Amino acid sequence: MGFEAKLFDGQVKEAFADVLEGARLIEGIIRNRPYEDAPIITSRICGVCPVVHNLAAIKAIEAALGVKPDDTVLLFRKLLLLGEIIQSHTLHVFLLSAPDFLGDTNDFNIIKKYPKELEMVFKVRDFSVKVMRVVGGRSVHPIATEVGGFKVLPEKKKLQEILSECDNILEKAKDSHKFIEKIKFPKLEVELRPISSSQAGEYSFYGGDNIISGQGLDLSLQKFYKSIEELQRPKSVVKETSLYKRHYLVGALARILNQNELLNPAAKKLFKKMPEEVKSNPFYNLFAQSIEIIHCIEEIKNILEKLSSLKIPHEIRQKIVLRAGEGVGSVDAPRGTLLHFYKINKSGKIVDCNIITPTAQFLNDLDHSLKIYIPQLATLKDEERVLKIKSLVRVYDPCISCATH
Amino acid sequence: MKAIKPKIGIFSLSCCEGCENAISEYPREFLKLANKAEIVEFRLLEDAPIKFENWDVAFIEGSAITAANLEMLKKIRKYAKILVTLGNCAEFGGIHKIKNYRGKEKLAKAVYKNYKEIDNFEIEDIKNLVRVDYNVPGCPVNPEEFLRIAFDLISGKIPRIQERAVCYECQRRGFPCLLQKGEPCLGPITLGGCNAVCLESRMPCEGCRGFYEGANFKSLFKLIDKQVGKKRREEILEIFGIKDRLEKKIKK
Repeated sequence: MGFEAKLFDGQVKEAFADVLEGARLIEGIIRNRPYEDAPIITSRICGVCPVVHNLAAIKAIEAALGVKPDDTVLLFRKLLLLGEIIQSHTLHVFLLSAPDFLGDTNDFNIIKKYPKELEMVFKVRDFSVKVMRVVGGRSVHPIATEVGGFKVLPEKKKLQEILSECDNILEKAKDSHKFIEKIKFPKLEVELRPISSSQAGEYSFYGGDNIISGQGLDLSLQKFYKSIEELQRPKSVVKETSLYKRHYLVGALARILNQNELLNPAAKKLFKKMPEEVKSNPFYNLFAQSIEIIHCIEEIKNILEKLSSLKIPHEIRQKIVLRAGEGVGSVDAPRGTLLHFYKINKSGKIVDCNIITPTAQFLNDLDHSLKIYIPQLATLKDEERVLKIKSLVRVYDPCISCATH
Repeated sequence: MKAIKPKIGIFSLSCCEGCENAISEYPREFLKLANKAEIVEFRLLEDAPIKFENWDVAFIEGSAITAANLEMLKKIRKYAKILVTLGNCAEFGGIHKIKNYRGKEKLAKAVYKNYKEIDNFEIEDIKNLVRVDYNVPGCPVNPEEFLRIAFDLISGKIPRIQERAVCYECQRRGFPCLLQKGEPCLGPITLGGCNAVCLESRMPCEGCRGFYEGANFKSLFKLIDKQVGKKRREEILEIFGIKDRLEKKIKK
């Protein structure tokens, strides 16, 4: 992906993403197919965060068909999702974004320079891959999930094994955080409008009925979906969004600003150490992701402890009764709130589909931050300036496969 | 004297990038590969613009669905001694090949307001666009199989995938047969090597790895048509882009 900025008297007039990815037309190819195909096909929107597309599709279809998954199903879906958040965040924090601040953007060099630290990160990532394999059947493109439940559930023995690793992995994640915590970010002050999903009593990834903002907005999911405006610039294959004509932020930093009170203890302790700047400097998204990794490991442990007192059936499947309907499904993906919408006819075929990805939602916010950041770099040499601009783009963690879909 | 290491490039066209993610699932093994060879291009782990030089092996994931994608693909072919397609999108066009089967203009119109201005190519298998030497199948690729093939290639061996069906691997692992339960499963006609990972999760095989040459296609289709109808069978064949090549194959 490239970024184009039009400069006028040293000020940025317009900045926008220039995407090289082609149109795969996922929202088109899904039409006129049975609803069962949607979670399979849409997980292929993104190979870094397939679980969130799979689950958002399943949730939207369940809303359309009036299907209610039971509590055990929800626990397993959350486990799978937490695994993916850790997997995506470890990749992004330590291999895609932090290198910008460690003085070398080639990861092979970073791995040579910090072998001990990267080994800790690999252990955390291995753990997340294991969680996804055990629950979803595979880490890239899950297979065990389906509308209504799970085709197969893991054996208790495997869950116990993961549970026994949690404490050790939590320490590794804390140490990894210590490693990147030393990074000093550039000064940048922008007005952040953080938006995230919300769930009663828990830090929300799976999502509930509402979407909240740091400015006190509290909308039902349906109202939020209807209020988002999508804009396709000429020739672009990305539909950027605005909410009430304004840009807004989704992702780890938005979530942590909106719901830090709900973080698990170890994660909360680290958040409390953050300086006041975290509220206005998007670079802190990197730390927010790292803290979320810690929160997720704690949460995986909580869920596994709950599951250890339950009897786990071999499968949980529902007989689906077809009806015409439409539904919105949302989960908070690693990069922010993701929405899937489907309209289904009475024979179970999808007649309409719309997918709004986190990257499409925060691109306008990124543009806005770049407009403020770029003039601050006016005195730097070109090479240095490019690196600084890239570091801000990367810290937002844009996913172009998702943005384009 | 220090031996010259073979140079590897890993490239991505339009796709989900899940194969790139999958091949780094075993980071230590992947680093061993990076140690034995020199991985000079890999967008996931470095951000320098592509430096075109002679690569011993180039892996390509994704489909060429824009003019820029196509240009890049052709240029990579020029510089690569061995070109390997990585994953279902490169081999068969991936899920987005459904565009070809369902009318790409109509679909673009449903998705984009400015649908006329975007590149909306017919999806082609990479081997129809440039010469392809080897292939790593699957959606996503099996990381262990990728590593085996990559190590073979850098040590000058010809990589082989054993000709056997997913069905064989499923039975050997003792999973219940979904076909017998009435679910449309392509296991008997699909090339193994995935260890029947989908069947392990009771997900019927949808053929992402392409064909097992020894299969009896017609008899499986007859059975599936009886179970779910011809229309649904064809829909399933569309998912991983195998429908067009399979139809040609059966006609022969």
